[in-house]
Amino acid sequence: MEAKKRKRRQDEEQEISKVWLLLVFAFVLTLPLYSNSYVMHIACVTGFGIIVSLGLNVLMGYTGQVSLGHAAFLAVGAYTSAILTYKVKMTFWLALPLSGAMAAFVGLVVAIPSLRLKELYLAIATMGYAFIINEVIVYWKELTNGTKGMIAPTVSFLGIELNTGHKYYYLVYAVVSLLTYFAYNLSQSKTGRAMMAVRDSEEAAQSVSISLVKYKIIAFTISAFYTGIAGSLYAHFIMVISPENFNIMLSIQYLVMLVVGGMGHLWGAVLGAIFVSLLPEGIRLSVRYLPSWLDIIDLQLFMYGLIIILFLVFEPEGVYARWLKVKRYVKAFPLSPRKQKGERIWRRWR
Amino acid sequence: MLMQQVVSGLALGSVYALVALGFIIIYKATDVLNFAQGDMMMFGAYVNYALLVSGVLPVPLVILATLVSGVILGFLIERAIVRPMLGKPLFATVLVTMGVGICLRAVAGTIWGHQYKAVPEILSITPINLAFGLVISPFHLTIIIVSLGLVALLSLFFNFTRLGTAMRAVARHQLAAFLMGIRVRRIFSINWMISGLIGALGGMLIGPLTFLSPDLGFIGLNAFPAAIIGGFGSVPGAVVGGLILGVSENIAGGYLPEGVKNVFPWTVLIVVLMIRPEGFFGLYEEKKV
Amino acid sequence: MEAVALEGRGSMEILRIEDLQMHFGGLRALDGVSIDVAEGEIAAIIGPNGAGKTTVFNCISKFYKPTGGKVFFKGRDITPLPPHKVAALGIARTFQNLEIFPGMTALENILTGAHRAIGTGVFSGFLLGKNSRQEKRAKERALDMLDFLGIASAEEKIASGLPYGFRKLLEIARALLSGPSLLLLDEPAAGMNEREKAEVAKIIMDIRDELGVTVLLVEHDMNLVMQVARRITVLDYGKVIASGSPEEIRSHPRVIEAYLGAEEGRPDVS
Repeated sequence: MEAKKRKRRQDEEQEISKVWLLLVFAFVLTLPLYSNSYVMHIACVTGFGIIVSLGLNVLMGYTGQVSLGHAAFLAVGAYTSAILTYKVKMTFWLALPLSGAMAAFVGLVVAIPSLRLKELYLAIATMGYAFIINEVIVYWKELTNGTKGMIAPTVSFLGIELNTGHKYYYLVYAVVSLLTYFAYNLSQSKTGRAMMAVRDSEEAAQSVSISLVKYKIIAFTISAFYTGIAGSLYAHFIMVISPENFNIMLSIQYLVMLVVGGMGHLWGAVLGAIFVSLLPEGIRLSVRYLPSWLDIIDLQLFMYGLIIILFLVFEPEGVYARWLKVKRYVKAFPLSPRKQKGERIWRRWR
Repeated sequence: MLMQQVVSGLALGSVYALVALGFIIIYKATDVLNFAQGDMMMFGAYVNYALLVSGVLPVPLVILATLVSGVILGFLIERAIVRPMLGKPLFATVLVTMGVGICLRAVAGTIWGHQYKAVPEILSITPINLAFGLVISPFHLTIIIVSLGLVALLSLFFNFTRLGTAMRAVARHQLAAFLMGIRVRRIFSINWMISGLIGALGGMLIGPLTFLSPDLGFIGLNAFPAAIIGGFGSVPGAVVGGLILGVSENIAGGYLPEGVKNVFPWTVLIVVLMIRPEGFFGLYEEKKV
Repeated sequence: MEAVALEGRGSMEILRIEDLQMHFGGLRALDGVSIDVAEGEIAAIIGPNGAGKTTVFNCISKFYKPTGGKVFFKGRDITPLPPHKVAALGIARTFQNLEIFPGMTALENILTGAHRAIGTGVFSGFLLGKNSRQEKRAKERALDMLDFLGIASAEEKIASGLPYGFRKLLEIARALLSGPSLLLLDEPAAGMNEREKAEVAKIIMDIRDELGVTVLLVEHDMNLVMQVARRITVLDYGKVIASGSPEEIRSHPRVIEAYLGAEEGRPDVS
């Protein structure tokens, strides 16, 4: 009786989700048709952000491990891809997954000493790793050209050079779609649950034979992999990379994406990435209305800071969490969420 | 030359110790990691610079005014931004301080621009001769004396005054302190004001060591390793951590390849955390199941 | 209701605790505790507050490393094993302070119990998500378990928003889904009223009768303990002061002495 009603409601919800998904997909697919290069450029950058955000969400949102140094994984992916394609003359299509793998490897290496660290110390240690990796890139000049920067050549697909925003967009969003699909699957699988268990209660997780070590490492690895892939895509987009592209402010930006969007929720991560990526554009557009002594860089910086503060004070769980709460309340309307029929404790169905 | 490097390293270390101290004071009482500590220091450095350059006030008053500005800054941050976060998850509060730091940087950049600035010297630059042929600049000496003096003062304060004891109580167990009639919120305020003061002091001391820029706060980040190595709970720990770090960084700078010096604090930190995840004097309570 | 003695069940020892010592600095939380539990029985550990009952559990599931002594499970020495390996051998538990996963739905909470049973790895996680056969089967079992405990309506609700009673049952459901041979229940009746306690008693006996799981519980409520347990061990100040059937314990002089003054603990209930 109750069970049947619930099943029907679940099926309905699934249908609605599918429609939404189709709409989003249609939007993404057709966007290039009516946009100029500028918009495509922004869309690509947003795409990179989405990938990283998804990856960071696996680590921070699902597994509860803080990382303040994710820009380092981006750098590893970017440089690996650049080196493989430019110096080793490998094809991009091989370099892309290898960049992800390299970043994943670094993630693994970084994870192992970090397993016993508590939140706070872990956060700071990850900052440290990022600084160290950055310095390595700067000073290993034979490999990375140091601060002079490295070239990442354009990508070709079936003979067509992906040298415009429009063309690159399809590459980026093909990857975004695939990785989003994987991330969704992950969240619904045993691995995803195990990670969330680690986040919510290490003791209880162990009591159902979840190995903390194993899943923290998996989380770091997956998270780094995603970021490495984004790094490779990013490198071949801007074509010249140098260490300053990958600084701590970038890491903080990724953090802000999750905070704004909603940590622990896949769509939250996506929304947060979109918001943070579009923010500079929003500021640029509004500069026209502001006094001229206001430096745009400082303004952007200030806005970041302000957004962080405002969101954390008023909406620390992010936009998506608020949306979920609203949805739940609306569903229960006109019944208040607590007074639903059938919700009696201890009613047995025998 | 080793001893000379140790001596100069002590100056650097003292600044690290100061910044670390600023973190720890807030952390001990409120469990909040103040990511804005470095930027508060930067702000103090700029205020100091602005007052010195404008020549409006005599030097002693400049020092006083800078310290006061630090106190006010700490107070404002706590009141306006941290206090509304009471009861929110800890991580959120920590991130908020990051946001504050970013805003401070933006404001500093807007007011004073991004050009590197040199702070006018207020002490003579002739090196003082110490024993054994070692020299030290008066400024470095001042840093060491001031920092250690402050630490000593704070130790006395925490251990022998009523207010200091109240603060230690709050740091140990907020709820118990509250139930004992201690005005916990006021203690938080005072904590932040003290950290603001320390920040401004640090700014005054570090300004002349390097060039001023809105990114000066990043050096403050380097103090994290100091605080953690010393164990994130203790005043002596911060000092020890800071001094060790400053000295070894200086020595390492002399003997190790170039890039290493910049990330030396972080490398040391990671090594320490690998051996002892709680830091040397660290404190993390076991969760009771 | 008296406990039903199960005849014919193997009288093999499923759990043997030998001379367990647990010292925290100078504090001797456990000082030479020995307990055995036979397969298929419902046994209980009782004692005044601070006697060390939960500490015993923590030593079994390895959240504490015992300072001395050994723990044997099905004849095997599990003392050196880490917590997640102990769980993998077939010991499940609930927690005194309710350690459910607040960020997940009720269903997901229980599904974590099936962690050991689901064989899929990270890659099938990526590719198939919840559509793998094993996932689907586990979900069926989880839904059945929700029914078995009467909390099916909570299925997609976030665990942190559920009422206390639901959450307690959720913990038990999660523990059961791992298919354990031994279930450690830490104060299952805490915070419940009389009616709820009666339900708990029934559930505990169902667990043993229908699922064949051996149950060891730590409990303060003497009524409940007398109802369901066949053998009771009494701890006081980290030592075993009595061990035996409910009737023996009820009238045991040292037990009465230990509980004297503790209102809830008076063992003179019928």
